[in-house]
Amino acid sequence: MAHNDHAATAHDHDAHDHKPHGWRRWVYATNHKDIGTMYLVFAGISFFIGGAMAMLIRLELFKPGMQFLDPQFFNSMTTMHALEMIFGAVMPAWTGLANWMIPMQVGAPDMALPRLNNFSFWILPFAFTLLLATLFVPGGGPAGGWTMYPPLMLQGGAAFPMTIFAIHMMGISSILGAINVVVTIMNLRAPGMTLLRMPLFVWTWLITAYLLIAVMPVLAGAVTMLLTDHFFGTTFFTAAGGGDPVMFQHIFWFFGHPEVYILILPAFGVVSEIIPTFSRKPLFGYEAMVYATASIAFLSFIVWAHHMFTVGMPLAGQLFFMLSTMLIAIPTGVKVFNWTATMYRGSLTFEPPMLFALSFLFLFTIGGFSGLMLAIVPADYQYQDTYFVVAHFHYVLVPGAVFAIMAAIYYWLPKWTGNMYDQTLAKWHFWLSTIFVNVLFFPQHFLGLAGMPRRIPDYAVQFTDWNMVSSLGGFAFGLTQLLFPYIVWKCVRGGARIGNRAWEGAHGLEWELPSPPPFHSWTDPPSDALIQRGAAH
Amino acid sequence: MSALTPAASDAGARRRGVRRAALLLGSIAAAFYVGFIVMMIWRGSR
Amino acid sequence: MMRKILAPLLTLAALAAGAAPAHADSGWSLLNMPQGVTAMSRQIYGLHMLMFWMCTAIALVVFSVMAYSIFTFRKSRGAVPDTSMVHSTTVEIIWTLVPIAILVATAVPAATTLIKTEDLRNSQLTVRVTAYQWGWNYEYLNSGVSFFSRLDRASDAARQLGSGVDVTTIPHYLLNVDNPLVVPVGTKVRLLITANDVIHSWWVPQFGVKKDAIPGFVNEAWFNVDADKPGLYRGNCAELCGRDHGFMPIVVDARPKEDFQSWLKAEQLQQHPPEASAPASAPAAAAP
Repeated sequence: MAHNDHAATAHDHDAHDHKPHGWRRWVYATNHKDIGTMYLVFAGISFFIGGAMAMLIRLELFKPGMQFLDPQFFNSMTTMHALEMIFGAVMPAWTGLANWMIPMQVGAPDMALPRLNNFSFWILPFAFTLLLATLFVPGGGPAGGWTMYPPLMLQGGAAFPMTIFAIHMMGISSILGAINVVVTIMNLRAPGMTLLRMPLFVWTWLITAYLLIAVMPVLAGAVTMLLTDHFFGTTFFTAAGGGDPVMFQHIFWFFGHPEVYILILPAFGVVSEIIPTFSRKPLFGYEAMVYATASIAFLSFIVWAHHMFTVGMPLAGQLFFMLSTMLIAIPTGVKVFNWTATMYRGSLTFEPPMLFALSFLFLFTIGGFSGLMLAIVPADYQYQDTYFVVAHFHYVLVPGAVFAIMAAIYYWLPKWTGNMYDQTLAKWHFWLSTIFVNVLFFPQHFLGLAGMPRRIPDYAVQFTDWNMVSSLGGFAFGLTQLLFPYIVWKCVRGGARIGNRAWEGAHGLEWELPSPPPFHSWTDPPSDALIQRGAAH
Repeated sequence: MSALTPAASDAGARRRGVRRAALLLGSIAAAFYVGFIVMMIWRGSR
Repeated sequence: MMRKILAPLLTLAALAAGAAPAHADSGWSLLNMPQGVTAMSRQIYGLHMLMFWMCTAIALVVFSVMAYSIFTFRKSRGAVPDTSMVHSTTVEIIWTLVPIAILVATAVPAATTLIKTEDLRNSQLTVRVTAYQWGWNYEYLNSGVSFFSRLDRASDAARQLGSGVDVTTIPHYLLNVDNPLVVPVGTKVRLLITANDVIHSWWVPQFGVKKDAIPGFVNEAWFNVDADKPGLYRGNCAELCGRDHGFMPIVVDARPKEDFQSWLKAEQLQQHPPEASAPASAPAAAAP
């Protein structure tokens, strides 16, 4: 009985809201939607800055011979591209989506810790200003790769301490954001929203947040050791002083592998929301999905050394990390099978979010296959540090994480704005992206297998043809992405009004709120009936 | 409307829960953060 | 046993490779890992193809089901959702167990090969490889022969920013060195790999060998070039090592055993003349 007039009451609340206006609304923001928006805008800006760096990389690699960039600058471009995309684009985009959606999906008015939320966002612009400023200091930006292996990283100039402080700031921001997510999910769920009724996006983010809290401090420790090695005479990573450079790699990848899942687990959540919606059928194997996510998160802590099979580990170590890595294929397979089974005997339509989710499904799976190949140690001796690896992780990160973020935005944007976006244009965005992402990254498998190492500014002439294809695909993919902010902007400005439920098959508490939702999402907790209707599994 | 009273006490309980969880996670994260750095520096300085 | 498992796949692989000439220089046909010139590199290639075909087979099945669902269960074709289909313990157990079985089946040959790559016994020649920013030093243990190996001059001149040189005219652009590592064929050569400044990685795809060169630590690797396959084999530094990481090639000159012995003798004489205080100079023996 209560939920029928809920929309009306929520609107009343909205009207009563004294939200600040002008710059104060953003600088002093404590509202989960405002902060979520800022995170997403920040991620978008980083995506284009990192993308511009990628364009420079592909430009230099268009043909053999050095045409445009100094090799050192090229190295700083590959390094900064990775840092921008991982810490500046994908992670903030997920945090932005978490901010927007988690309170709405669990039936809470806002995030649990709104001022902390403001702080964790506002660290980021400063961190990235510091990072980007390295490009203008003597010696140029960090050029040791985003993996920052010593001793090479220790050769960095003024950029070195700046990069490390920037990474510390990003790490603190992520930890605070993660704490906020966990506290919100654990404490602010509406009565009746039991753990196993939570939408999968909330589940995957909960697990991601735990991963973040566990591993960001490890990264902080590792980079602090680099700092003291450089400035305070310690020798953690210098053999001459009793240290070991490989130790850094172990510590780094103990952070780095869970980090990879931090980037992809929320994508699993998003896809698990979108595929059921557009299949008009509940997610197949909801509980299996939750357990698979948890298993992937657990396994991510015991596979780190598969990034370093060529460092000369003992045989037993190599065997262990090969087998543990192969195990990850099992929960990941369960997920892919469940998504497929969700579509099976459904009633499918192909709106832009579904298209991006399907692209994710196919292309992420391809990235998963190359990942499985990379797990095989003797073959990895040939793949390691080649373009095959580049192709692999771009397949899981671009059509994987990035497409899932786009799917999520196309899915929830009508909810956020109350307007439907230009679906035709969004479909153009989808088709061009999907075609060109393959033109861009598929040939890189060939290049790597044929023997082209990664992180090189110039290459032997036999690699020319596929590099040209890859570069052309890259430029086209880059241009295509300009459609995205345009579509979003157009939608924010106006469009066909939509009701509470933007998509026919959409389930979940967020679709019970009006579009756009009130400033504070669920000031009155949703009724049990609403929760049951939302959790349609 | 006896619903008011449980709701109010719910809000109090919820606030305490938030505070407890935030402090717990915050101290875990801080302990990790500082702990890793201190442990590594301590181990390395030997 | 390994060979038995791989035999049909290797045949398939050979067929696939046959579609594109294996040694063509044209870039378009460079699609796959080289089979290489050592027994180990061929075994790695076999493993790679095993994984490739396995993944292809699984992909065919999974993608077909996806494609079938996408084309059949369309709302526009009047598909009605079966909302009762929410889970099935049997199906879920099956699609957990089948991948486990497949993984075990591939883990066995992978582990077997891995154990072989780590078998460093009975080597007949040992070379110490020391990596520098940006070149390699090769030292033939117990013979007193050692020399540096760097990017050749022609490539080095052409690769400068704005050199104006058409790099396609440079023979083996970026894959040529002044002094290649000379080794005998049909011999188990052991490499002791280390570095002097930052981490590098010694990689020759045709040998299936890639091993990091780590300052302060010595890594071991080995290869044994087929007796009937002397020749020049090229590779690169594979670990980012600074500004000129991309310009740090490796060339191995595999020669028949007698040729190698005479080369080594000549090198010894050159580097250590019998009765002279000759200055230590770079070896004259360059790439043939």
